[in-house]
Amino acid sequence: MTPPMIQLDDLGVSFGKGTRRFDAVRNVTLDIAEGEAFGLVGESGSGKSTVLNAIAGLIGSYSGAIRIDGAPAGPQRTGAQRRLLQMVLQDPYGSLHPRHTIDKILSEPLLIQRLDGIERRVEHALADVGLKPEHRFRFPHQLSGGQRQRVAIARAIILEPRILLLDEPTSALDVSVQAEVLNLLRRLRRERRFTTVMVSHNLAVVAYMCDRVAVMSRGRILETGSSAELAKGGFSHPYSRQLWNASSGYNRDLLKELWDDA
Amino acid sequence: MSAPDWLLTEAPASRRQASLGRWYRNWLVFRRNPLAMIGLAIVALLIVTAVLAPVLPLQSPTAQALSQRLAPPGAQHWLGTDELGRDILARIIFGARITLGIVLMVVAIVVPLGLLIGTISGYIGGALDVVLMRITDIFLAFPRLILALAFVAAIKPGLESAIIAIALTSWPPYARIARAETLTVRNADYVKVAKLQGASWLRIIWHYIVPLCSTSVVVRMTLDMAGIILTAAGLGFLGLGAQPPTPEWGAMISTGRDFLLDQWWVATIPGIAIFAVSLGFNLLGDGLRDVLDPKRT
Repeated sequence: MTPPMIQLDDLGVSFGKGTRRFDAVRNVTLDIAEGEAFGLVGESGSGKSTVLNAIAGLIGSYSGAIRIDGAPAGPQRTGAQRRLLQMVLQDPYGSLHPRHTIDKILSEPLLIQRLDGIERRVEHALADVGLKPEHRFRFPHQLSGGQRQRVAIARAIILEPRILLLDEPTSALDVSVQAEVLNLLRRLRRERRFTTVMVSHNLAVVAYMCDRVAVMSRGRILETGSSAELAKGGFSHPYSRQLWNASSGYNRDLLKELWDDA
Repeated sequence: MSAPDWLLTEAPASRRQASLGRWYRNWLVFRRNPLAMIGLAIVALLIVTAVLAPVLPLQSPTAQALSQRLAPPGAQHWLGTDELGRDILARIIFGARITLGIVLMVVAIVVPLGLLIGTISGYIGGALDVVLMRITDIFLAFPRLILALAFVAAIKPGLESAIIAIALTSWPPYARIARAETLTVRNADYVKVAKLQGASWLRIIWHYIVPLCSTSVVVRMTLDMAGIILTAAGLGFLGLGAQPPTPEWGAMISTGRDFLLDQWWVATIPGIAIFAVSLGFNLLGDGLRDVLDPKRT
């Protein structure tokens, strides 16, 4: 059997020291298979983005182990290890450098990784995400939010990674644009077969995008299950049910059964 | 397609067109500010006359004519002559070369140094940040002219020492600005993505942080040029800058002081030149600040 693409073993991340210590992530153990689409849901501050950042190697100190493609992957990684994994962030306004043209934004990863055929790869990546050649020499402020997010996706896939991390890729976008971007991500996943880990607080988006879902609260994974179960509201933990009920709209009766582990 | 259309297009066809277009847009904003245009005109005039000084029909700035000493402004000497009968107009224009040279040399030393120290300090942080910023504080705590005086006195009076002394005392504000700007962008998402792509810290500083710091540094630079001219003039006035017979503006005021009551032009005219050029650089800096503000997209 091939080893899981991403393996988290008893991952813990804490910020601060002593009495001001805050445990953002506690005892997270996860196996994500190659080609799988995995979702992490939970409220703000539940630690889901921290898990993603730890997988990406952006967190300096943690406990437990992270293995990617069978190899231990800490914060110090080689160029090849970096190339294996790319990320699309939430805010398309903050994730593109305001003084770089789209051309420069897309060439940078290729220059950093010392790849050849930059012209061809940039043109190809633009076409892949549905941008036109005339967008190439514009600055980010000359593009719409949806177009910027497409640029961010193009920047992530231009290195041909095997893992794509998605940190709420659509929550900063208009509802009409969200669907376009989600469909683009689904199409790219089908074509390129990469492993994806998606973080979101939107259950509908996660159910649509992912095969398997984990529910997180206060730094722990409460429950893991298939997204089909999630879509039916079939999760058993009270917090998961609460999250599911909350997503279906405001209902005063829900307050009576509010679950809180504090 | 006309030239402005080519520059203002929303769909530039090449890297060069995109960056020229951005410059042109900035220029359109800059042009709307009349005071900034006056500043630009003064600075442009200074640069042009300084460059063309040897080919202009001027008298020699160092040729003495004792029979015509202290002549008032008139047809033969437009701005009069000094105590050795040298033409003041020629000395002012040749002096502009020296002033401009000092300013450019100081800026060429100070801006890269300040940017380097500030961005590294802000980006790396930790103990290095503390050490670099305390060094900056020490330099910042000295009064500028006094430190320059001490330095020149310790080496030997002359133009080169003056340039080094002024540079030594004017880099800390640049380091401070660069550090502050770095702190605001070091945790930005695009820096995070660059790290993910495997960019080295040098590359992140040079390609991601410096372009965002450089606008405030450029503005600070034009505002500082006036101060550099005054410091250079101050050193010249005290006899520690350019040495005679070099026509440096501060030194000219210094010698003219002896005749201030009877022959006002000898000291006043270089004074007016210093004033006009300082004002020009300040107005230019103000205009640039409006145009280059990173918050304006």
